[in-house]
Amino acid sequence: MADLDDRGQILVVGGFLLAVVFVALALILNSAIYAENLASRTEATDGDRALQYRSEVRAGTGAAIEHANQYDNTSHATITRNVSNGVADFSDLSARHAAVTGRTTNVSLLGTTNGTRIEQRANRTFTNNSSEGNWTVVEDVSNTRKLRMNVSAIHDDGYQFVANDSIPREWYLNVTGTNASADVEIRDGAGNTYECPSGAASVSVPFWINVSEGTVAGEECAGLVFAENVGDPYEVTIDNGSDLQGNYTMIVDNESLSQSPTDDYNSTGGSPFVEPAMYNVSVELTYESPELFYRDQIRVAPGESDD
Amino acid sequence: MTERAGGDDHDRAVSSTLSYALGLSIATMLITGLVIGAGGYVEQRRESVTRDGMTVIGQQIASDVQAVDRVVSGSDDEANVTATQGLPERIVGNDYTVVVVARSDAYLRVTTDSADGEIAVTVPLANETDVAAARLDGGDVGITYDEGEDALVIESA
Repeated sequence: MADLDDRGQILVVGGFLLAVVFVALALILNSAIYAENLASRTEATDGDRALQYRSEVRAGTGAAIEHANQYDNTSHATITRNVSNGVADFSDLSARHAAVTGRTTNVSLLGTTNGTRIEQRANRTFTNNSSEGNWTVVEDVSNTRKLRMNVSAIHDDGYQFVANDSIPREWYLNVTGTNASADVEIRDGAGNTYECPSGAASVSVPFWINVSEGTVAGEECAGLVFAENVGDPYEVTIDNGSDLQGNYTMIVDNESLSQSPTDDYNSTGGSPFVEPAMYNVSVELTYESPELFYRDQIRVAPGESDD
Repeated sequence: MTERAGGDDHDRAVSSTLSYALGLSIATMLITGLVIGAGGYVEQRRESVTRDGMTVIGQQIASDVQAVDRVVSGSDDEANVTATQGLPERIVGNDYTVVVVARSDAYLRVTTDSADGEIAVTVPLANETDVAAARLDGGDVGITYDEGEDALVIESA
């Protein structure tokens, strides 16, 4: 009978071994589930949000600059204070917004560049305040933004809007033709010429030449890049301004012109006039989520294209 | 029937011993077969799970490298970017090592030393910014942009 009692031992040992095997299998299955879980995680590192925040900062700071340049722009100090307040407000608002999703953000102003807005608001010829057709708009400029002009009448073919450096290399924009069929020609500092609108098409007045955007009458124009192939600093002049009529606006990074305007400008509110403006700001932005830390410094100059 | 009955009585002792021995050997064979079969199956699963786990870890790191790369590409040169990723220290009970092979077509090589020798998996990196060569053990990983070297540095966090 002892033999019969021993008989179960092999089953016990076998069962025990199988139990061990199943435990091992369970552990492996667990690892597999963990790996699957890891694999199905959405991208934890929210790099896209960081970049999104970066572009929000660019847009928000740009709006603060535009607002400060537009309203209460009596002096550079006032504009700087307004931009500084605007950036601080934007930083607080965006930080509160980001905190909802467990992230922290911050924007701080690093520096500003003062500039001058040059504008002709009244519809008159592109002459200076003394009605002279050939005059210097501004000297010692490295950057220009938001440069656009509206053409309301063409009197002759001579008008040139020129940027030239000390070498000298010259960039110019020339408007020719008639009121019914006008052409815009551009020649850059390297001597390349472009026709706008491209091909045989012409535009009729009135039309906009948006130099910073690179469009003529709303149509994209290849080669319309202000002061292309001209070194810094450059001066901006108008030749035969009496041949063209309309208005224009631009912001340059030369602050002295608005502080002591030349005789070319009207000092009593008429056109053309100059006023203080902020050219660009540098801000530092920080974005922090549990997985990502991001800090970058950006320069914001809305409507700039000539650098 | 009687003949048989008489025969049975005679053979019975033999039959009992024989059937005992037979039963024992069949049970042993069956159980041995089961244990060997299940053990082999477990070992096979283990290797395949290890391989899957390493691929997943490699891909997680690669995806983070890509995310940081995108942020760096979309920023100015002085950008400061650091991403951290929580990863297991071991896969199916084995330590593993990640080697960053820095070449024009950089890739990650994840290896582990199990009882049955080395298992290695390579995961390609899709990066615009260069990556720095590195060797790190399992666990959390940090990816930082080094402005000086203009490269992404992958290290244990």
